[in-house]
Amino acid sequence: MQFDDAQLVSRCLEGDTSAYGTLVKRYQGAVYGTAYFYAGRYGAAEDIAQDAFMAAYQNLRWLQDPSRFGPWLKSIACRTAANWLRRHGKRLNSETPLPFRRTISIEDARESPRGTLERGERYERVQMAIDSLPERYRLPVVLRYLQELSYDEIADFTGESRDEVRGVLHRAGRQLRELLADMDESEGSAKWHPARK
Amino acid sequence: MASCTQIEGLLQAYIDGELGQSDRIILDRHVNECPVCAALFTRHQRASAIMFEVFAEDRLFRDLSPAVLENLPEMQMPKQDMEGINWRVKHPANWSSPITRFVPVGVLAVLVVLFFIIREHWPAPLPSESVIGMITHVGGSPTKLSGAAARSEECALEGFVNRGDRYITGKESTLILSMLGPTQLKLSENSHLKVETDRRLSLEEGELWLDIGGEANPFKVLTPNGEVTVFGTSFDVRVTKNETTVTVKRGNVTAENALNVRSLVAGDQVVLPATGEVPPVHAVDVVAVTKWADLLSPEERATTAFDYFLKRFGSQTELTGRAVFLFNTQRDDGAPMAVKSIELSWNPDSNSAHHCGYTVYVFDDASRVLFRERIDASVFNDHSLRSIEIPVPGKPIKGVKQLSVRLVPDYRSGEIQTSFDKVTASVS
Repeated sequence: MQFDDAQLVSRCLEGDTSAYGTLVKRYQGAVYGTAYFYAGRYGAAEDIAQDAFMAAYQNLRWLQDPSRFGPWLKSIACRTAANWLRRHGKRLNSETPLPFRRTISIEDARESPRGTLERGERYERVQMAIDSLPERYRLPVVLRYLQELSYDEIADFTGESRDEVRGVLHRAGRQLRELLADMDESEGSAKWHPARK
Repeated sequence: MASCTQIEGLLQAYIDGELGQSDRIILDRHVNECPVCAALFTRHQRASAIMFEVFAEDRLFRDLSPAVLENLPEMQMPKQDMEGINWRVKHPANWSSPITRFVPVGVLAVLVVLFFIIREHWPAPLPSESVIGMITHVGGSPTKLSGAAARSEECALEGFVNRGDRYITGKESTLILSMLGPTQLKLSENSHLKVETDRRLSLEEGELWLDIGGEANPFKVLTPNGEVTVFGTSFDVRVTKNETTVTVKRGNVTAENALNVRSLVAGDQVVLPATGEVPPVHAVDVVAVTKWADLLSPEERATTAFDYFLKRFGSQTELTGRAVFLFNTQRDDGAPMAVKSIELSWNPDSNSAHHCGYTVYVFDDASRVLFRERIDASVFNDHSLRSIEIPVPGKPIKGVKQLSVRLVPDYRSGEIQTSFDKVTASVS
């Protein structure tokens, strides 16, 4: 049986931690995507996501409308990421961000230096394209392409309606199409992993 | 068939797998038939592929829930209960530290010290209207009897002098009062003085030295044996059981009893007996007589306080009104005239009560008193009157070039002064 957010929250408040586990599974992609959106280049997205879930649990009694757990969690995730950046901002300013955000695998290491360079360039191009989008388009785009979240999942997390999410992604997609038009689709240079739902 | 614009609006949702079946079929068919939309579709698909491809590297594959559940913190209790606990948990060392334990006591001590400092510097309370001076020197332990309350208290430096106060100096105690005018008043030992107003004192026994300011307003010292009227001067008055001795150091003074009136100038002394005629004025060594007063001087601190008081309240109580009139008693050709009477004229006002009576003093060229006359307050309360004629007692005044007439109000009979506009002499 599938419980909705409000039911899971109320079970959490009664002390059922497994209910919180279900909520974590449901929202981990979105929270991770948000953390990645803010601090992904520093490889801190996972840590921030875990911290955000723990902060949310700690403050669960202050959630006024349990049916809006998603948007509430989003605000906590944003705050946690912002705090992380503020805490580590000084140190990060003196460091060069990683070209890739996750550890390089053995397979990746075998690739030619040229391929690595190309991938770095592609990443920067995509990052610039996203940065040129209107602000409210950026997080839905990251959630969609990073975690392949469905429109409903994005809507549950951002608090917008499904149609609003669809409109945002359509307009963002049209701009990205123009921005990335001159980029070659590099075949087989990256490992393609289907999103795990 | 759907338009190209409609098809463009479906592209993103088609690629995202969020399109309904009917829209998907429509799009498929359109793209197959429309090369423009087919090219657009390919470009859109390629952009999406680049996005997915770049982000695929960083996608989260791990399930975070075990790690989160393993490290799950305590759920917080409602805030109001927790704030105090949290604070104490965060600052446990503060309460056991020896320094912080004394903080409340320290704060209290600082507050007490502040209280005393502020009280010390707090400005003196505003004196009431009856205040006319300040005690600027206290020697020994003189006492003060307040007029209204009739309670006895020790004189304190910088204490205010009120109308009606009595000052009693016992053995070896002295007092200096600084009063409006400004007037300085030194009271010797074993004296008893009543301050009726700032211009009228009553010395019942003992010795008093006065330095009087504010010439326009006459000053009076009453004694059991007679009274002393002063027009800006310094002098000494000594009262014993049977007589009052007046010694003048500067300026001029009029001493009188019921029978006689005498004028004194610097260096003169007169003795007013309790009964009988006043003996003539004689010269005396003023320095020796007033030596006791020269030895007394006001405290500097009290003088500063008094100056402040005078600046603030002096002008309010200063009496106004011109009360000295001069006139020639010579004809134009220089021949003297004999003055038979003097006529005072005034402007009547609307008040029919509370006017003060006046004492009229007539002086000659050398400031000697020729005669004096009292005019009752009822004369000034009567609206129908606007002048009064005062006959010269005895023979008409002759051989005086210039007469001066001084009008001294007597506030015991009322407080409203009369505005005199003219004094004329009737000559023969």
